Amino acid sequence: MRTDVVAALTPAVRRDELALHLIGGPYVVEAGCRRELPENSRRVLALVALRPEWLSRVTAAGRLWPGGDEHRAAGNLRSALWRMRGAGIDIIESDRSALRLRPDALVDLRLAEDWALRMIDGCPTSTDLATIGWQAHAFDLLPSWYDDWVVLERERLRQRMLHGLEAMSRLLVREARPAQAVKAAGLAVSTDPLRESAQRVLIEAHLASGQLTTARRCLHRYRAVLEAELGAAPSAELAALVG
Amino acid sequence: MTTSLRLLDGSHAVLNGRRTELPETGLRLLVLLALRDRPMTRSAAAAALWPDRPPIRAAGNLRSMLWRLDCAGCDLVESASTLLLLRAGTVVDVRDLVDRARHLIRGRPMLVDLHPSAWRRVPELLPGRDDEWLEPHRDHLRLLVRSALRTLSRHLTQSGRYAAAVEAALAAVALDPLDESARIALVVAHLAEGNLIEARRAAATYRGIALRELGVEPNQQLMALLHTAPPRPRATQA
Repeated sequence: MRTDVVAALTPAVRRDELALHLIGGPYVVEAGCRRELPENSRRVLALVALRPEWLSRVTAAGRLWPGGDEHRAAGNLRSALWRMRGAGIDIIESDRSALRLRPDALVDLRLAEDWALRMIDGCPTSTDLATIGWQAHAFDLLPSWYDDWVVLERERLRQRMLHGLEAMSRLLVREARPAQAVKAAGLAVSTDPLRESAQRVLIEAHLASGQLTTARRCLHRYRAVLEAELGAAPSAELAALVG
Repeated sequence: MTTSLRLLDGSHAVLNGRRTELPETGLRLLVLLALRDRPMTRSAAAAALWPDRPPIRAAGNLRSMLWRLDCAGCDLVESASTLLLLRAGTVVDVRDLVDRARHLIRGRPMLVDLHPSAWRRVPELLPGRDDEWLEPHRDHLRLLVRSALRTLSRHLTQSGRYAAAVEAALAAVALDPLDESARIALVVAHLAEGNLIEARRAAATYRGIALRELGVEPNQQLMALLHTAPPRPRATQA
């Protein structure tokens, strides 16, 4: 599956390991089999997975079942963990007072953000520039969840991925691969047509492949969209790119 | 051999090269000393640990706490007449974090701290523990890191590293969604990158949260940013 973040970014030897998918998830894949999570443990797993370290049971229960009844919240948490174990999904480590994700579990969110960071830092691995496709899905972090802690994390990943795609496009232009650069930039633009930094790399990629007319058309289209949606105009720097 | 005290990923000490769990009894004292870079008088420590006890009782409690720390093989605290301090040369992870944050705030950051991944995991003091006495220490630490992240974001914006600038501001926002200066840093970073739409969305998100949580409109400064020409430093994206 080319569009799967874990498959695209994990070396073949590790693909059989336990993987947690938060993008389009949450669900768990173990030894190639997708395992659905019991309904009431999904939120527990997502909360634990978004935290980099141990999370106290009291904090977790308070976050997931706010409203004051601590005993009840603690009971709900115990039951959610118990059900997950009952379903044979052993991905959370716990002790008497705290929980964390098993440190050896692959997490698609971490893989995606590390990929984007390598782009932004300008030091991609040999395979990083080869794959384009899974990135389009990376924006669906825990889709249709609206808790504050999810919304913030989704926005952080969105910014990281858009900057990653923009950086990827610039790297490809530098490597004289303008067609792929157009593709990477196009993905950023289609994700957010109003974002100027995405439009800029798309125009630059078209210019790098000698497509001045296409570059101009991109600018005109962007100008029209921006005018219609925001009543604003592209920056002078952007306009200057195509003369 | 180095002695170290680790309070940011679980809690343990490395004494003479050997990992030692920290005894429950002395933990509060160790945290108190770890967060200060100066020695503390015995009476001040006792008063901080047992504020509602008479001084003579608090002093007794402190003596017994020190004695138990020693018994547990955790001889990390030195006492010199009336002063208490961590054993000389002890490396403390949380103090390292405090130093890094202060360097950033004073505008003398270490190179590695200019990278957003250095702040991706904003560590928490004794993660997984849920003790009331810890909260003020955690708040203090979060406040310091938040302030460092805002400074970092502004610095990165000025040097044209917009991706990192946006992330530093978002990390500060995650520590406190109502931190208006962090929200402003985020809007400024988006504007400097030329992303008016992102700036407007960030401002609208904050406005929604401020109205919902505080019942007030955001500071005029934030909204005014959206209608003025943004500063556009001439620099390349790093």
